Formats: sequence, structure tokens, C-alpha cells
Amino acid sequence: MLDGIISGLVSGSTYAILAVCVVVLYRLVGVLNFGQAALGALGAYVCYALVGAEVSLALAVFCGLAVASVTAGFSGWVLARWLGEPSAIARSVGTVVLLILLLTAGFRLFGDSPRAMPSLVPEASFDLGGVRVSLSTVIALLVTIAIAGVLSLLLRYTQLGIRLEAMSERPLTVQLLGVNSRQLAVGVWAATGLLSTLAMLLIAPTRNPTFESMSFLVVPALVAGLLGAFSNVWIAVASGLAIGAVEGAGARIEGLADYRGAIPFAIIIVALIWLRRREVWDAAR
Amino acid sequence: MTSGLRVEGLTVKRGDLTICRDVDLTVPKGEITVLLGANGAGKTTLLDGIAGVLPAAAGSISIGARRIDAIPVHRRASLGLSYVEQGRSVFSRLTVVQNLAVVDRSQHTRDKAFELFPRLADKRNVRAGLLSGGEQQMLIIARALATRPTMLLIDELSLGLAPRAVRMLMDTLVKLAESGMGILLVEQFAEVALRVGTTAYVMERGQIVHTDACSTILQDHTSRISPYYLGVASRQQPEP
Repeated sequence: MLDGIISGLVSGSTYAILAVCVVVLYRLVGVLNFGQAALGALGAYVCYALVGAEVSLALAVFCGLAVASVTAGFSGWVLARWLGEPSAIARSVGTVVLLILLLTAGFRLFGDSPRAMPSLVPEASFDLGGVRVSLSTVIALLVTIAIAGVLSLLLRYTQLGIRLEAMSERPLTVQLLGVNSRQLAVGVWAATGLLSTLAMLLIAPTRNPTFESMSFLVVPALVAGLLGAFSNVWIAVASGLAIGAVEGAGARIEGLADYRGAIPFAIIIVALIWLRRREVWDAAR
Repeated sequence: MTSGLRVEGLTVKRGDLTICRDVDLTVPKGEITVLLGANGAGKTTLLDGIAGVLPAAAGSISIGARRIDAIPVHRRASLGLSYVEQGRSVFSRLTVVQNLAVVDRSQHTRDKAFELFPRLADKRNVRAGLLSGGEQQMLIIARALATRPTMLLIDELSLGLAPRAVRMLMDTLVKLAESGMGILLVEQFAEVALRVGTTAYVMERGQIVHTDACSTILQDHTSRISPYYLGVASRQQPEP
């Protein structure tokens, strides 16, 4: 069981990083991005396609990150340009279109066969209190905590962070103060595209996924974001890791293993019921 | 006129609806220009049009010799135009210092803001959402001044404020105008605005229908302006 939990932390780290992206984008730009994982999948697949074409791993990773970042930035620009004024719901629905476009492009470019992906981290493990811990698990955890920590510090202590917080509350006022808020929003999108690719590069070698299965890793990320009320980065990180750990533990339990993919949905239902426990029936509509 | 703000033949629409039509207006540097009008006359839409929040459907807007009507909102600020929107547009989750830092993090900006509004200095680390209405308006003006404007547009500065706070803010605007800044002031308390202003424009149904010196409008109680903008307002406005 403990082995399962530990091995699930790699997936958990990916969910956590994607959740950080979802939370940051929602909090700062007001968009719930259903295409977040698909952007990362695009970057990861570009990376592995280039590796397959004998390009060096470092250059391939750089290109993957760049493609996802530019695609995300362009998506953000399109949404800001044509859906800047409407509500957050309208903008979020716009990301469903993005998800469908990316799924279509991914299918056309990379097919629907699972791919074996080389690991960015050397194959190594060590014994910790009788439990085998792989180096990739440790690296994944460190990367996740580093991303959440750097983002928290950036948002709190830099002028860019202050401007982003201000933009999340009053985008027009920020513009009136001489700040190009559309450019800031595009920057946030681009950064989340880059981080999503990083998350996918962590998980891909452990799963040999298809483009589609990678894209739907947005579900556990959304669950983790929901548990953090789409505003708290650290709760989202902890939730992402916890979902991964529960999935990992579930994989070791006979009878539950085949259904572990449904765990995030179960958590969504429980979380929604809990969060709405004080609502009067029908009043939330 | 080569300095100050000049608006010529400006038409501004909200969606397909024309709100302001063929507006001519000048705001010289070193003066407070007052814009009066009943609710729905188009005052806020006109300011939105000048600031670039809404596009100009026709006409021109210039600061000095430079036309700005095709320039995006955020770049108009760097050309010296600052717009204080209606309502308390503070960033409520940010502290006083962070609100100023959205524009400029320098100590100089903070010092200037606290010199102008000493009350803000005592609350520098308080979240803006927890400030009183008057303090929030002080912060908004201080933040607008951090952009180093030559021209300041202000929409309903006194909304919901105590008379004492209104008087204090008006005194501040007079000081700013004396320092050479041009101010276009939309204000519900017409008499208070007219006492600090030089020239007044009156809007009705999206058009400028009357222009005169503020002092003339104040003295001429028989004019067509007084019953509408002084009679009702004077019952509740603060003494200047």
C-alpha cells in the first residue's frame, strides 16, 4: 500500500502542477482552462517527436516548452481579444473549444497510439524505511514544490505579481494606470503552457500515454483546483498530490484498480456536496 | 491652444447606441474644468471616450499637439492622461502601498502620496478594501498621480462621501491645478465643483448645451442651469 502511495506521487505531482496552472489562470485572468493539460500534451508530444527524429533531448525539451508556451499565449490573446468583455463563464467555455482543437490537432499530428517516452530523470531508486522511492518521484515532488513556491513569492513580492493581482480584480483600472493588462494575461497563459508541458514530461514516461489520455489529465487537476477553491495554490498542490497518492494506493487494491480513474470524479461529487452544504435547495441556480 | 486637452466633434457609442454626439471641449492646464449634467446625460460615457475605454466613433482628442484618439488605453496614461473612474476603484485585496506599487514601486512615489494625504501613511499596510470611503478616494487620486499625469479626468469624486472628506479632496484638486495640472471634473455636488472650477460645460442628452465661466453660473441664479444643478444639489451638499 505504501509503495503504491509513493509511486502515485509522480502522477500527483503532475496533477499538482496542472492544478497550479489552472488556479493561477483562473485567479489572475478569470478563465477556467479545460485545455490546460492538452497544451502540456502538445508540448510533450512535440518534444518526443523531436527525440524520435534524433534531435538532442535538451533541444527537444526546449522546443516542446516553446511550442506549448506560444500556443497557450496565442490562445490567451485570442480569448482576450474576442472574449475579453464577457463573463468568466463565457471565456471558460471558450477553452472547451481550445481543448477540442488541440485534441483534433494532436490526433492528426501524433495519432492515437500510446507512445513509450524516455524519462528526463535517470532510472534510480533508494530504500526509505522499507519502501522503494524512485529518483523520479523525488524530482517530481521537488519540481512541484519549487513551482508553487516561486509562483507564490512572485505573486506576493514582485511588481509583476502585484500587477497580476490587481489585474485579477480590476483589469480596466490596471489599463487606465498605464499597464498593458492584455499583455500580462497573454504572459500568464504562456507561462501556464510551459509549466503544463513540464508536468507532462514528468508523468509521460510512467504511463506511455496517448495524446488524448494526457489531455484528460485536466480532470484531476480541476478537482485539485476545486479543492483549493481555485484561489489557493498550496491547497491545490496538496490536493493534487493526495489524488495521485490515492490513485497509487488504489492501483494496489484488487477490485479497485480498474476503477481508479474514477477517483477524481468521486472526489468532485463529494467536494461539491460539501462546498454546497449550506445552500438552500435550488437557490444556487 | 497647444497645451491641455482638446476634444473636437467627439462621438462615443456604447454598442450600437450613440451616447455622446459631436462634443467640443477644452481642458486647459492649470485649471479645473467642470462637466455638469443630469443622470444619463452622457458624462461618464464622454470621460470613457476621452480615456479610451470606449472608442471614438468620430471626432478627435488631443493632448497638446498630439492626437490620442487612436492610442490604446494603457498608452494614453504614459502620454499624461489619467482617469479616476466612478466608484471606489481601489484594488481591495492589496494594501495601500501595493496599490501605489501597481504604478510605481519607488520610495519617491510613496513619499509624494503620503505628503499629499498624510492619513494614508498611517495605513500604508492596511488592505485598501478596509479603508473608509474618503481614504479610498485619497488612495485612488494618489495612485492616479503616480502615473505623473498632466491631465486628470475625475468622475464623481464625492460619491457617498462625508461633506468634510469632499471639502478636503476639493482642496487637493485646487492644489493640483495650481501646480499646472489640467482637471476635468464630473461632480454631483454642482455648487462645490463650480466654486473650485474655472469653466463649466453642461451636457444634455449626450451633447454640450451650455458653456460658461463657473463664477458666472454660480452668480447667475436666474440662468437655466441653476434650478437644475444648484437647486437640488444645494440641499444636501457640503458647505464649501
